[in-house]
Amino acid sequence: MDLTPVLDGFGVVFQPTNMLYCVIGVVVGMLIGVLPGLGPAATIAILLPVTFGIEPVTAIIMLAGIFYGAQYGGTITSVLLRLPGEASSVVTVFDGHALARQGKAGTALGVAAIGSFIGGTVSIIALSLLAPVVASFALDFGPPEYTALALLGILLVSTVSSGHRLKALIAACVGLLLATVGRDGFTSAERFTFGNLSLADGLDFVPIAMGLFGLGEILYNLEERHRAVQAPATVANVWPSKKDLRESSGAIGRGSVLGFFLGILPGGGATLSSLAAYAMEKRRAKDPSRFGKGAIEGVAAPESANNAAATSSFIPLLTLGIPANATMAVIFGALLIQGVSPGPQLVSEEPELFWGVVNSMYLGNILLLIMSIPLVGLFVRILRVRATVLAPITVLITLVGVYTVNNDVFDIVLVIVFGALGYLMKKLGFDPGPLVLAFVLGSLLEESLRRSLLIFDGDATGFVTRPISGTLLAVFVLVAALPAVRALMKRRAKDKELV
Amino acid sequence: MTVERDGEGGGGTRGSGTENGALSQETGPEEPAAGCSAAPSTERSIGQAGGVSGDGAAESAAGERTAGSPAEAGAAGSVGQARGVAADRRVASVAGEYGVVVGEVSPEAGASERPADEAARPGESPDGFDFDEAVREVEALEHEYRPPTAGAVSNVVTAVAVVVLGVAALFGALSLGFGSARQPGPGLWPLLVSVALAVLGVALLLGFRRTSDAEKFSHSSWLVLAGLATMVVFVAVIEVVGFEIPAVLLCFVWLRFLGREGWRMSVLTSLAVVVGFYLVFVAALAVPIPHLF
Repeated sequence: MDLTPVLDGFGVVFQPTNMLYCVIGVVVGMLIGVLPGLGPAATIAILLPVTFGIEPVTAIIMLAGIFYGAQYGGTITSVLLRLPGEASSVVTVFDGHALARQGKAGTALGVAAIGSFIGGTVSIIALSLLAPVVASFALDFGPPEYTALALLGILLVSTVSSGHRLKALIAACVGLLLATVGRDGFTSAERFTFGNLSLADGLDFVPIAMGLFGLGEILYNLEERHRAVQAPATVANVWPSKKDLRESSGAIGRGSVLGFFLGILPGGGATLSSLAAYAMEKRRAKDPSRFGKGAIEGVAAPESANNAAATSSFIPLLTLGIPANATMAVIFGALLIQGVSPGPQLVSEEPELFWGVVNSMYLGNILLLIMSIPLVGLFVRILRVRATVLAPITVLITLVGVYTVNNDVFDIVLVIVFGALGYLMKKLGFDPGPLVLAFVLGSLLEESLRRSLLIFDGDATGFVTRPISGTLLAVFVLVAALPAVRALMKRRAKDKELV
Repeated sequence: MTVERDGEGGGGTRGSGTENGALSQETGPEEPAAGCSAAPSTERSIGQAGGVSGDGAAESAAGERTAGSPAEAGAAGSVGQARGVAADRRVASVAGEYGVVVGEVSPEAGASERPADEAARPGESPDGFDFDEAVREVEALEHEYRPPTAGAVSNVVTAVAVVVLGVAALFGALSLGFGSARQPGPGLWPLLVSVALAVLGVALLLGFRRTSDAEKFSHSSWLVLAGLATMVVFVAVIEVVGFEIPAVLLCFVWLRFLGREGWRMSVLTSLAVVVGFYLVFVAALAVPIPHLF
């Protein structure tokens, strides 16, 4: 392996601008992790207009920092207030808050910070080794393979990520339909524009992401009152003792590895991996009943896992051009806006961008480790800023920010429409994540499908006979059919019981 | 509301119960990909390992070790065998796990089978990790003050809306012309997607009694409508009077009426926010947003 581009990547990272934006990203990430309400996907969406003025590498370094910074920020409130700032920190509540009540909040936060650092760093090293391999493997992918890969990616994200599978798939279909709005790339026929000139070039990604994730979440939070925040006890002695470290080292190692692998999977990501890591530790423990009562492994494992997963979920995006979750979909959109199309050629054709972003994560993780502990007090104070004050400011940033993209009032109209849709979707149990993901993959998917049909001369069996696309489609069918088969088996088992 | 909150209050404890079996789901599907020798017996042995958790000595052999190389796992395996069958089983499961750790799992093949298994319908074996349940608990913890679930009417209306959207898109796609497989027209892809949408909508409609994740619209839903109204006013008048006045109004309504802040606080904060916006976007960044001053 040629190490020159890797080392050049460090050169990119240590440019002062990039270091500055890495710091900004990590701090903003920790802040939004602390504040309940807006998640990383929403924050990155709202900040999209900001990224227009800066270099692609710098922009993605900042957005990545927000993503993994948020994983740690959420821990602070989970431990101190039993109030998870992020979905990926929910399991940390069980043992982290129990430790805080025993006066060991500092230990929990310290172990979480160290675990996050190790998980993140292990994951970056593994990413650096694995990503170029995956990318070179995928270089031969043609349109049929991309069709199958994009279909599988959308299906996995819809079925794995959250609650209602059918509703997630419906959201994905709506996203695919929205992607067809505008002039058709092959025939220049106008589709679903209803004679509106602003729609002729297609729907813009920015108002959709800002509306569905940003405004949608703010409107949804208007209705639901968050619990009043009490000032937590002061945090003393954040440095964990040797005994704590020894007890949690195994959990950190296992959590890091598990998080890395779950993060790669479409639909996996930080939340799933923190849950799985917690469950694994509990399953392995000599005395599982300690869990929930302040077991340090119950903090160490999920925190290592969610940071490892946040890092490794960049692999499918940067090597295949397939985002693995909603946040990655927004970063994908940010890259497209910058004129960079992520895919297997990224590593070889834009090594500065690829290695710059990857290596910036080392710096980001070091920053997380050294800043998180001294800044705990500051973050807790930020919690006193009421959500009711933040909400209108965020709304105004969204409305003004979306205007700055094209200097077009129509974009403000769109962001409000998608804000309303986002609220309705959340209210009715539809996750907006699959919609946004399907929207960003929609044109790629349609284009590769139609190109494939041209290649195959109209013979759709070509998809199945090519080995890679055939395998991917077989997995697709398997994933799609599995719930039905399971349900059937369950019903049969029930019938037997009745007889 | 009270009932709902009561149910979710126990989230922490219920969570611990259901997560028990995760390891079996975790390791099971990936073992073949990792090519671990312990694989064939693992699926079952993990299931039984739960039953031997009282076996202190055996458990400590497997449980105390930290993550390491497969060789280490193998060494521990022999220790396990010396201590009896129960320990052997336990170590087999651990070894399987290390197989996962070291094996190069290609993100397509090995990877995609796992979430399928995890996401699949829970509750087959008493030991299975109920993933849906765990996710629901995570969500419940996130929204402790979540309103009650919506009734059948709301579910039916939602499903019908999806079907209508699918059918409307279908007609739109047909009018575009879908060409042939050899010469795909502009309507082919929208046609495929809208058929899928309509079918999924029908499936949702058929299962409307089983959906429980939609929320009831309550009187506080009017707050959302009011919030949306302030934004509509903002965009309607921005080209006429600039952004400052509608922005102050939006901020004030959100603070005073949607956020129940005090009058003084609301007025002062609204003014301060808009002055700040003016300084950043107009004075500093020179964004060409319509402005009055």
